[in-house]
Amino acid sequence: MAYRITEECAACGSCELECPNQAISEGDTIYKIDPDKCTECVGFYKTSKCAEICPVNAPQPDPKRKETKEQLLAKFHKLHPNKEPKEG
Amino acid sequence: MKYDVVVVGGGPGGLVAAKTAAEDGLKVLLIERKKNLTEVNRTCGQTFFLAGKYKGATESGIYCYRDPAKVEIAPDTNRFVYPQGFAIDYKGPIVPYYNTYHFSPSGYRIGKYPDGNEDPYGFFYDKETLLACLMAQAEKAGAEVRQGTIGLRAEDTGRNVRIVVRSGAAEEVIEAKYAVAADGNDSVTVESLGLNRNRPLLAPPLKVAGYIMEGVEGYPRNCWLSFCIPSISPRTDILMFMVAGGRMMVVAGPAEGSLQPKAMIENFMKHPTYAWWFKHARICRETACTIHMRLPIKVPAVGNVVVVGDAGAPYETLIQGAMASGHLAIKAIEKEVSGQNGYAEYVNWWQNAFEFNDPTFFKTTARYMFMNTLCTDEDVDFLYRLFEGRVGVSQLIISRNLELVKEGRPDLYNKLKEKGVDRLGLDVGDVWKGK
Repeated sequence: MAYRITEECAACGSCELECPNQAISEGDTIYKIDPDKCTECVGFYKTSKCAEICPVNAPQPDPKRKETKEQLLAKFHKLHPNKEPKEG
Repeated sequence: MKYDVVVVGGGPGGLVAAKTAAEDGLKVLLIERKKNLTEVNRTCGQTFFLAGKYKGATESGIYCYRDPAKVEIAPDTNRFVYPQGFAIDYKGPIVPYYNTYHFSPSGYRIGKYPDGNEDPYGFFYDKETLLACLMAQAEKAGAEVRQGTIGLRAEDTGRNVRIVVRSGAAEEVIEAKYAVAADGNDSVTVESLGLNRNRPLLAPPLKVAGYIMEGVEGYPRNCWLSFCIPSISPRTDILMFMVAGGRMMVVAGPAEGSLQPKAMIENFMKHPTYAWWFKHARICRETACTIHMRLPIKVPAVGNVVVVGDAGAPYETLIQGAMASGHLAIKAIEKEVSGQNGYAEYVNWWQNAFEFNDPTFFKTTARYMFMNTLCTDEDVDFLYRLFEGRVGVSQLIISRNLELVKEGRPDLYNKLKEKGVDRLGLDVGDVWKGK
């Protein structure tokens, strides 16, 4: 599933530049993840970078956006047609 | 070329750079990724320490910015006055810093300076007000400031610098003759220019959080407070300090396994010794940040790029260092433009003004962590009670008087001696040999 940023977010922005898909941006009060751009880092890393870097555990898997690894990999290819997936 | 200088990052360093450049007649653009540059959500100590009075590595294990900058308090505007002959105005709340107290779990305390000291060693300020002041000054001088614009990567072509930026969904390339990399800890600008080649990460990312609060009572005002409670925070002390304007902040971290910074703060606020301070407290802002600690940059000016502030530091240059950095970076660029070697002077200043550039710095400061990592809550209570009344940094007092622990707690003495705690003071002395 795509990740979403919960209300735990302190808007520190530590996640913004970690995202390899540039899916994270500043919202009105907290930061937000564009679910159409989130591959949970599939194609780039073994772990989801935003969740890993966040000091307050704000990014959580979004139960409303359950996606399989295959779906996430397909999303990666669509977003980055000229890139080879790493780690997978 | 549309701009003489593009400044990446709207913190204190970047804003002073933009202001200085504009005041000197340069066409300057500052980009800041946040929509509101003046909103501070990254945990920050908001204290202007007076170097020369406030001893850094020699006494407290945290580093200092060495230039003896002063603070002038005046009703119309306060000023940060630098020895290089420039000053920065700050119209906003300002509160003198008189002491740092180290507290044990049961409330025994050791003061760094004598009780009742009224000669400031620094000043607490309000960062959001400072940033607003600096932005107003920069824009008044003619700097263009673009908020909500994030620098993604930079390229030094030799003739100029090209920065790829994104604002909303739109990407564009900004060109300028020179770039100032002022985008803070783990700067993307520095990374993309290949300037992190000799700057390995020194530790896993450090996660901290800080709650800014009103209505906190009972605590010593005008001070930094440092709480050594290993059961709550196993690596470093929990910190408390004033935020000028009637508020204060509690900071905890780094995260340790499943122990998260926010939980550490909340546990501290419920701690039996200190909970009464927070009975009527209201949290006004939650702050946090994840810090990447890298070896400092050795040469912060190369080609068409000058690195300012935290972008080149292990993790902080402190407010006084960042602002000086921004000013001096522009002066260095101006010298280069007029055919003189401005970079050499800037690099020399950078290498000497910050204790973190001393070769043994990282070895010595790590040793200051012994209290939380080696001691239990009971150990800390014993030690602080034993040395209560002495004046100085608690770790150094314990280190220099470890023999006195033998009588009451031979087991604790052996534990600390085995880890070389008694030699802590000597190593720090080596750092300052000849200075």
